[in-house]
Amino acid sequence: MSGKPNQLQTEILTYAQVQDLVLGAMGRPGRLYWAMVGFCLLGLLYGASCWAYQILTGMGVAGIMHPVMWGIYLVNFVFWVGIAHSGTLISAILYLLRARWRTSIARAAEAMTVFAVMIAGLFPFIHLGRVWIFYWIVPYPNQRDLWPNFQSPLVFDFLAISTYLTVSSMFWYSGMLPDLASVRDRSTGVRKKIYGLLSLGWQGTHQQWNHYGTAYLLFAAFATPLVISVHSVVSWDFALSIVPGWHSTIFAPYFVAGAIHSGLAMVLTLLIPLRRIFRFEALITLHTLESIAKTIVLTGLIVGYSYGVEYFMAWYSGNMFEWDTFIWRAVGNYAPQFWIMVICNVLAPLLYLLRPIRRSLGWLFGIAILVNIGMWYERFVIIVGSMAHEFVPYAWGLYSPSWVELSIMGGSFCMFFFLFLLFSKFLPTVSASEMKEALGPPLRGRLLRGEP
Amino acid sequence: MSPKVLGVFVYLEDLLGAISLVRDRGGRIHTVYSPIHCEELLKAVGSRPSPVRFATLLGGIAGLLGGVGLAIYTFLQWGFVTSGKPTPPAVPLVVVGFEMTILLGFLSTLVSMWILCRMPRLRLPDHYEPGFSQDRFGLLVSCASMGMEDLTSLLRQAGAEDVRRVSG
Repeated sequence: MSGKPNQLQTEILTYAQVQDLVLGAMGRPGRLYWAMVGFCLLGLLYGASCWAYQILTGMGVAGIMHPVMWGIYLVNFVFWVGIAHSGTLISAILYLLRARWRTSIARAAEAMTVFAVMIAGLFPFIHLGRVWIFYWIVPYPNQRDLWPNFQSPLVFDFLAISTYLTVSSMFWYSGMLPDLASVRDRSTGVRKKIYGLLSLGWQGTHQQWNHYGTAYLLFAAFATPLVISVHSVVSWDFALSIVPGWHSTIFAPYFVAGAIHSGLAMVLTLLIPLRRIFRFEALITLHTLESIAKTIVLTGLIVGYSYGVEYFMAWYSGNMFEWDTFIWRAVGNYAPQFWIMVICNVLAPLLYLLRPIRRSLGWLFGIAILVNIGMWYERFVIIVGSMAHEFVPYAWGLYSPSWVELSIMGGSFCMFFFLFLLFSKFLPTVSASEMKEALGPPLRGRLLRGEP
Repeated sequence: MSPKVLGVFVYLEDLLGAISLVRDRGGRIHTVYSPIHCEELLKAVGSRPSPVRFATLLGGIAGLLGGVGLAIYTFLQWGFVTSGKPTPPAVPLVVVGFEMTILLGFLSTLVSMWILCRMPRLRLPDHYEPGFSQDRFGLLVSCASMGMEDLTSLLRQAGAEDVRRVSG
């Protein structure tokens, strides 16, 4: 693990300086921070009150109506599950592939994953209406000994999402143990006690590192197939039905690529301001941001290829319903959303092929925002676009979200940023122990700059 | 019981040298503290592969059997015959079995890691130094054939920046 030093060495001097930089971000927050937290909390409370209003009034306050019975609640569900994907990609898959540039951003990406899955998990409950009987979906028998149907993709969904939430949150927490111990050791009073409890008494003994190293590798090995499976399972919510535009064998890889695409864009959206605010320029280098941008180009090309293949399959299959659905997507009532999707997800990321754009924080951030917007619209086009235009013209109909749905969606974004703001101030946002590993161990023969 | 001595080191090679010296004199390495995961260090101490792997394997197998078994049991108990497909159907079992393998395999790894690392632990040992989580290495040793003074000077010669006696 302590192999050859990488480019960090030119930026970072000693272990102590890494520690100071990472833990320095956990200092007393300023007014601007609290103002942002307050704003997000208000948005979250507003969204929660709209959900309460929907529960008290009934599902009629939402815009979902025949034939579009899955509105933006399910759009948001798929969107947030997608956002959750890149965290595990960066922390687990790139860890197994020994991609060193992931080190400084893995912790923040994992946190993003955990918060996004939590929010994603809320939307099926919001969509249920009678949320107080949510436990009916849990695999347990009712009084007639009737179990949920294990052939249903909705039960697959429950298993996949709950497994993903458990695995990603514990993976995140386990990776943080050495750093929590580090915070404990630099704290006093109540703060020391709190971080002492959170670090579970980690001491960094050779026995602990031995078991921890093995376990962490196994966690990554579990998380890697899991991340692929979760969005595949989500895609089967659609692909296992016979609705035109959904009933497709490419849905699983198409959804996984889209999820990573949106997740990486969200990583850039969060990291660029984080890097600036906490002065992490030496830790989260431009090289790291460039690497994310290059990966976005790759995922964008896969997503663009999938869009093309969908059209080819619809045409080549000779299925008139399928072909009509795809033509309608491009020129029908939801054509603006469709073209936003294509431009933002496929064309905009191609700008990252230009080095000056990849090295400009403004461009990096702007394009990442566009990809976020495009990926939300992709889910809208897939879910709403297909239900609005099924087989029989008599049953066609349009959908637009109500103010309650939009408010709850806004509340979900506020909840995400609220949780991320809390994380960024109260937990180590960069893995100091992994950063130190990347620097290599302190050796007499190789003095790190700044040492006596 | 021979007294223990704790040496604090800044450089890895000094620590590795000290481990080797103590071993050569017949001393016993109780614990090595490190701020990072370091393979050279684990090799020097003679750490064996962690038994966490076995817990992972057992958890994974239990998850696979449990998930598939539960799904088959429910199918047999209440036959949902859809589109003339067999009951229990094979394909959905893959998803249930896969997710449960991951879940139980992961949880058993986590729990076994906590148990083997003796966590959670509310009190740290008295000799523990905050620097061990920051930028310092620690070596806790004892040696029946050497006196305190000799052991202390041995660690100092090896490059320890601080050496002290540890009670208990």
